[in-house]
Amino acid sequence: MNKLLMAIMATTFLSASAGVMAEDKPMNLRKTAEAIRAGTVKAGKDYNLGDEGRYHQIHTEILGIKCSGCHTEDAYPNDYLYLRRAEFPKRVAGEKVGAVERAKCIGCHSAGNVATAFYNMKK
Amino acid sequence: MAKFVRVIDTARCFGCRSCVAACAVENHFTPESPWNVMIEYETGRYPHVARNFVTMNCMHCEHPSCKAACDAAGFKAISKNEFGVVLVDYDKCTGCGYCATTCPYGVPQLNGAKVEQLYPGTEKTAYEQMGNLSPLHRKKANTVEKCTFCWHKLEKAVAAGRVNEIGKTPDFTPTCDLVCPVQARVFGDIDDPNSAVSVYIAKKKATQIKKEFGTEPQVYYVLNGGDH
Repeated sequence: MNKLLMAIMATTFLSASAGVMAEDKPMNLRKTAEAIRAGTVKAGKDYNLGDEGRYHQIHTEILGIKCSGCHTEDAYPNDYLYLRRAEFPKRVAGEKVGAVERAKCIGCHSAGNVATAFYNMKK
Repeated sequence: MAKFVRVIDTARCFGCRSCVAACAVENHFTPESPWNVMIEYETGRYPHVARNFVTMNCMHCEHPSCKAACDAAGFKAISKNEFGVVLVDYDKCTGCGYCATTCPYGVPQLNGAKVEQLYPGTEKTAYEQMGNLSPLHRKKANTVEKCTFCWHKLEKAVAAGRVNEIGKTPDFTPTCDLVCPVQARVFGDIDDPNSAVSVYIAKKKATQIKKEFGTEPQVYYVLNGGDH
């Protein structure tokens, strides 16, 4: 029940954020995430951060998260403690890339939630 | 077994950046891939304003999200040793950047297509000096770099059976922690209740930042005006 609740919360968070998700993309995040991990949904094998790489293919093409769902327009807030803050905004292949506040990742990527766990993992 | 942590007292730090410079020299700074950064910002409203200085380096988390991401991607280039130090194996790292995207603290630095040295033309690059350097300093292009808690110094203490001197003897202490002119940085064994770090954390109520991510960083901060 707890995992189901977390999945619902993650889905709600993403869809409730204005303009975050493309309207024609799947809303069952758990099944989609499991399919990606199982390889039944192809995300490619290019492990890099480019637009065509696996990272962005999963988040944008498969999950349908818009750029604005993760990236802000500009730099990090002045008091945001992030070692690489000075990099942003930056230009990659001519496109302006705004900062990403990592708190946006917690909803899906905490242990027990829909996506691969990176946060809140216990021994 | 000892577990090494660092305490940074932002109430004492005045932003001189000696620690930043020391790290750059000790670890053969790769331009645009700093291992230690000073973040400076203003709080309050005129005329009641204050300047805050917060240095950041790798947090060497108990549950590192960078390692989780690297393992999930299948490269397993990031490890956490028995003393809590998180290290990158440059030979296994493919520069995919997944660790850089997952780290809540923005620590891992992708170093680009060419590893430049700090003073071009005056000395060989770290890569060129491979035979003389610690493997942690044999930097490769298109990999991730980050603070190592100066493991190349700490491992010498471990090898010599002098673990109890880590954080005390200069040869066995991270260089950034040695140079602070106001003693705003302390390094040592948190498993020793009488160590300088344990006493500092208790007496000054040092805390970890960004606890919501649950990575349990091994760098504690005495915060100057509230939790972040």
